[in-house]
Amino acid sequence: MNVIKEFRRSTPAITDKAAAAARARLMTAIHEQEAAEKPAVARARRFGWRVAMAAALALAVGGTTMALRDQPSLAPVASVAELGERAARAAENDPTPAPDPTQWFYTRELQLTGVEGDVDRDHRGIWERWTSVDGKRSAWYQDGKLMFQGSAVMDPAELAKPPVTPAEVIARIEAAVLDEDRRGPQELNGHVPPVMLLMEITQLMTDQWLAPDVRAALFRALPTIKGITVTQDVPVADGRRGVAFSLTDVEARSYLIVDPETFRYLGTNSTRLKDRTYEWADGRKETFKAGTVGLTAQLEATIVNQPGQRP
Amino acid sequence: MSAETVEIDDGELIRRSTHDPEQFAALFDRYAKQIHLYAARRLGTQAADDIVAETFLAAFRRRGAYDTSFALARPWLYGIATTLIARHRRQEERLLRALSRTGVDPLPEALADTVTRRVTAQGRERELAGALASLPRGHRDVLLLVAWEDMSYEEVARALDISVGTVRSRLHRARKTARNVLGDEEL
Repeated sequence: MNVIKEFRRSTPAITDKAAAAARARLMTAIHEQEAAEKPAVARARRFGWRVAMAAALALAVGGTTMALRDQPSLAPVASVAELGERAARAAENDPTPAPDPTQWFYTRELQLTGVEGDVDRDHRGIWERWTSVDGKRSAWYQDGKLMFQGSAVMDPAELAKPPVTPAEVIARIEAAVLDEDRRGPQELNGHVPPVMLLMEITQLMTDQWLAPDVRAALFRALPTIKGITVTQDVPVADGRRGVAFSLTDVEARSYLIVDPETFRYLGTNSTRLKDRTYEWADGRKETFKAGTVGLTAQLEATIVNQPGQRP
Repeated sequence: MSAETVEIDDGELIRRSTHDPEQFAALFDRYAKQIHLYAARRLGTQAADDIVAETFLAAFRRRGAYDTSFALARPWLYGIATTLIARHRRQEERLLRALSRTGVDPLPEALADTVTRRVTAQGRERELAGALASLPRGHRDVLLLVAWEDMSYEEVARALDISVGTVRSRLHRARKTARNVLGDEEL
């Protein structure tokens, strides 16, 4: 075989120019595909697979929002502004020392999907994730192997740059979403819908370690988002109940729930109000029915030294 | 507790690219170079530039049909590239025959290499070119995937969508043809 092996062996390698051109053709096809998809799917790309479920349930694209009006008479938190403020103060007073940038944020979450009255009819699972404190990498176990993914939802250094104010953190999140939209589906027309902002903030709080002032600013920012109100006594996936930042629009009702006493993040609860069919990249269609419920509960959120390590 | 770091395999990348198309770009980064070289050895760099681009476009469009239980996508990608190369079968054979006849490889190459490379080929190389030109295309595909790309019979079978038995018999006959021209000691 040697003569054959040697035959034209010195053929020159692909030039950088040709490689760049070929790659550009592929990227064009990829972006065309992405642009053809629904924004919800693009969002799912950003946040990983689990959001495919949660996002589809919670995310409504466009449309106007309408406030929920179901505040009980004896509300411990009178308004969403008060909820934001109390949760922010709790975050600021968190005595946990700041982690080292080389450490990892470990979270364990219970996820359920089903219908009201049978909340885990379709799915019940534990989702564990490690996100580096610097936000550059995230990891999870799959078939016994630790898999790694690139950067987390937002760059924590970018979020922590002064001034860390509610308006500023919202502006930074919106800028990141719009930047992604420009490169992807191009369907937002420069406007980030409130439900998408709520989802981004939820993702940040769920998956990333956040400096206390950033977390506080996010809590104070929530009441400033159009349509967000307070709802008492909302359950999360493991049965705990808390007070929620809530947002309802024509497509879905979404809650970000915190503990009513400590104001720590507990989980999410969302209900689809309208059927929605998503077409995935491979042409497969999936319909999320009105009445579908998705619940999560954060069971653990702590700092560990390396990915894969459990506390 | 030590963490095992594992690079995501091709099958998993393709699976994820169903919902996250951009993941597919990683396959290009893994295989474009080698597929280009393979195509360039058969048809020259210029044709290979197109073939490599077309290969990944076709692969991207067909990724839904990929069996993601196969961790390595290499055979699949080479299969697509080989199909694209087949469109240039006459051109490939013409180039091989010219080399066989004149001892000068007409394969278009990068300009800087042209002068130094276009030396007269050795006798054996000319004979091999003639033998390769005379092979049925399917036999040539098998022979070159095994000889140049070090593929196993199973991988070649997957690349060309033929049985392992067919790979064996084609390789046997291709080697026999080559042996006839080059002499036993060469193969």
